[in-house]
Amino acid sequence: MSMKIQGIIDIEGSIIFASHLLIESLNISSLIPFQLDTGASSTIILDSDARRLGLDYSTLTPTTLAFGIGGSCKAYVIEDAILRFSSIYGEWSLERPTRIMVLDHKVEEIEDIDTRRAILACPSLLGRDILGRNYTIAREEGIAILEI
Amino acid sequence: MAGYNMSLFNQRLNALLQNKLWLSGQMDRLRKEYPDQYVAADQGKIVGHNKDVAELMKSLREQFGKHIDHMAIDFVSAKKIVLILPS
Repeated sequence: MSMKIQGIIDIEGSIIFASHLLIESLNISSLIPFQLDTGASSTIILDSDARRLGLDYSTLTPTTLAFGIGGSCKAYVIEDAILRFSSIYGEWSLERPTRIMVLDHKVEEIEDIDTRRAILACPSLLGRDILGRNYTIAREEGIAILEI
Repeated sequence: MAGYNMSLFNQRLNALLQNKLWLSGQMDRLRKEYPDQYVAADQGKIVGHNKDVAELMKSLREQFGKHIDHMAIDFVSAKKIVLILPS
């Protein structure tokens, strides 16, 4: 059974969805916005959101290095994350257990200020692990409808 | 979902999206006012700013209590940066 989720198209044309992130093992329960990224293989929490959520990297499980803005960076995995989305009319919700990645670019150690700015401005990304293989995206009047 | 208030949940998600939308429309102005700072927005206004996001969160919790996750919080780069991500 598919579900439609409503997002926004921001001024730059990026598609943003809101979800509720639950990580029981880390006692985290918070809303979080994600930018749709059909090129990302998994859903990723970037540096700014990781700090905002108060994630302590030392408590996370390291995984393979990730590559993106600014070259390689440390990557961690959270195995027991759950993302909860609301259906377009708000009548029911979809919970997706997911193996979420968290990136740590060690921003303080980056000398180039523009690279540092780019990393801190980078939103968390909603990847193909949530989208699945048969998703559709419709855009209408400043809103985006994702069907997964 | 027993005991879960869908209406409130939906309102909070929508509030976060609307705050994100408003904040994205203010970026050119914010680049001048709060360069290289994190800025928090709620209901069409800036409710906090700080160079350190942890400090900003602490200050927002002190001002508004613990339910602040519907606020949009973005880093305002002093220089406009275009992130090229497929979507």
